[in-house]
Amino acid sequence: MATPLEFTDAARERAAKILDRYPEEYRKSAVVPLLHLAQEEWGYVSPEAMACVAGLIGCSPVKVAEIATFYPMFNKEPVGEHVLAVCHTLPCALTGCGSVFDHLSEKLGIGLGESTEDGRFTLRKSECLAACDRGPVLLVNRRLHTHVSPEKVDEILAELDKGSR
Amino acid sequence: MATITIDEKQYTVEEGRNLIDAASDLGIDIPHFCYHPGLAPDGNCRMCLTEMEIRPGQFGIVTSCTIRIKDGMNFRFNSPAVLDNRKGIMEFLLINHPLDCPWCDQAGECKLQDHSFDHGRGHSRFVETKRVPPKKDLGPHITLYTTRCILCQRCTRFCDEISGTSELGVVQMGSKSEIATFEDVPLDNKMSANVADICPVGALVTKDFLYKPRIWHYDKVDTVCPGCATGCNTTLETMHQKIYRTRPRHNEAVNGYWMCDEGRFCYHGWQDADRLTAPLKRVDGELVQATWPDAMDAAVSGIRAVLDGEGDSAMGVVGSPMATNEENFVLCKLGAEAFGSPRTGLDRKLEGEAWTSKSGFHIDADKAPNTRGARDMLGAGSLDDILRGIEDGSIRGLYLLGGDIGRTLSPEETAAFRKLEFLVVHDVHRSDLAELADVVFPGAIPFEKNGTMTNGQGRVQRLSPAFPPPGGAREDGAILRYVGQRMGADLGGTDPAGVLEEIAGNVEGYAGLTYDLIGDQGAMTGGEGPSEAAGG
Ligand code: SF4
Ligand code: SF4
Ligand code: FES
Ligand code: FES
Repeated sequence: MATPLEFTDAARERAAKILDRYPEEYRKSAVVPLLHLAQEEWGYVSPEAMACVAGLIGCSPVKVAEIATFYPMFNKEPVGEHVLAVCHTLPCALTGCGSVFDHLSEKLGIGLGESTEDGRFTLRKSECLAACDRGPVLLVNRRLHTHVSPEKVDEILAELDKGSR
Repeated sequence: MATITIDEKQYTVEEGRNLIDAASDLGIDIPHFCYHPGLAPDGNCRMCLTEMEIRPGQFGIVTSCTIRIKDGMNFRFNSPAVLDNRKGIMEFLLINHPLDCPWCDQAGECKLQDHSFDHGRGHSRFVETKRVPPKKDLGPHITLYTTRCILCQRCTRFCDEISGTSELGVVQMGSKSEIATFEDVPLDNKMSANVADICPVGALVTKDFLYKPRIWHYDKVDTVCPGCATGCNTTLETMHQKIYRTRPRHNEAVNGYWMCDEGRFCYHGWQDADRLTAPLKRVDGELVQATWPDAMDAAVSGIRAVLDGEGDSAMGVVGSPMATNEENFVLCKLGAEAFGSPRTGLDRKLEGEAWTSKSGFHIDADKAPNTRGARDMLGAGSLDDILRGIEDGSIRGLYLLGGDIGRTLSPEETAAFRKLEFLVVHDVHRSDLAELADVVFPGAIPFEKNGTMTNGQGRVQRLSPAFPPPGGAREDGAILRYVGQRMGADLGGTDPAGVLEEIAGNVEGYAGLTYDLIGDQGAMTGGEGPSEAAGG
């Protein structure tokens, strides 16, 4: 079996706090917050990370995999430092998300689901991000950018470049 | 009891019973996929939707599998809404289904086939490309034909509720939902193959039965598993004197709907090994094939020589926990009436591993099916007494109902059998003890036996033969009677039902037991029989 990863002491403390929020018999409910914690720790949720979470809540690892594979926002593969997700559901498509995506793809030199070689960016599409009235929208890590255009993409990328220097 | 209305007709059914089961008791079939009487209702497939009166005069759609009968409930099973729903569900289920029935193992016993026939449409409106996820090897016994799965989750629930091993889950939930194991943790538990039985479609199949002849070609026979003292009720499927499949048969008091993998596949060990199909007798130190009359002559004169030379108690008989109650009983009679009150013994327990699942399904540590019954028939005699008798020379001849006894002997103990003047062994293979014998009679394997066995709990259950023993092999009871006859003792008729009557009249705890009473679900020894009621 995938050998479970071990949380750092700090993360373990946070995990304990999360588990404390649920009564003993409903510990399984902690699976989503614990997966978030795992993703924060390791950048993505590997099978080993799922096994770690399963160990904490005392269930079979396949039950954690059920949840982890359901949510696209849990990364199952390593991702770049910044995850860029262009919404491609209908309202955003009508307002031009296609050109936003193409522009990003060209600028970064990567296709859908790929990461730049330097490990800085991962490019994705997402389903509706619940901001249809302000499309096209782009999710950068946990921050939502609205009314995005190719020009605005350049600004956002420049901003991210600055931030990491 | 509760009175309910179905399509304006009134019925009396058991209160609290699941609606699908209650309807089935009445002979009404509510189509369903995810519900299985051995699992908790899950309500996920929506095939069982019917209409129920939820307020006076107002009907609403409900899942039958989650309804428990209460007095006064009013249902519509055949309203336009209900029929429409079934049609819709069938259409959804077939969107990605490959419809590869011609080479699917489930064909002929597939719920999807049956319900398509009853509730599906004759053509598909789906013109898009079907999803074709690859098949997966889930574990040592089970393969998943992923395309055929309808996601009823019987299999995952079996692993969660029954085996308690939780190897299966649904991953990529959504339009790409798939049954999966985790990484390299296979579906590997002591009862894993049951998932193939309960999968309503051909998605989960056992590797053992893959690509075997179509299911409607088999003869079926109800019997009992010989794998351990639990005595799971089974149905064998056979063709041309060969077993192709063993499946559990429902018996709430014994095995529920399940059986263990070891028991399910143990028929291979019995039928694939080289069978003895003719008697053997020792000529100039070598065991050679003999005709039945020859072998019988050799056996009878050998036994006579021991009795004449050494006296009555010099001949011992040893029963077998692999043999039926009737066979062990007739062996006892042979000993008493033909050999003159000899010493009886019985195989030691063949101890293995015991295991109990989360739901309480139990695999017994005693790996012989009828230790309890054989002991009841033979009385207190033990194998150790017999071995001591051989050692001290008081036992000079021995008659063994089965060579399997050798499995519990040490090499020294086996060697002790060489001291015997004369040894007769019933066997199905050339076992270690058969090799030492002077005469070997080819007997029947458990799947060829007709009679009863008593499981570890004291439940007497019936075995029915799938086919007769091959070639010159014979049912052991018939062999015993033949020997008896040649020794001048009448051991009674060959009908096991008749022998059971005799057992009922002679063996403590078996009073009142008859074939009829035992039926296909068995009957308990000592008390639950009608004999008790009759003051017996
Ligand atoms: S594999 Fe069979 S039992 Fe399991 S979910 Fe699919 S159809 Fe149901
Ligand atoms: S538990 Fe025992 S009787 Fe039941 S199937 Fe397994 S070996 Fe056979
Ligand atoms: S469609 Fe893009 S946010 Fe809703
Ligand atoms: S049988 Fe009732 S929903 Fe599946």
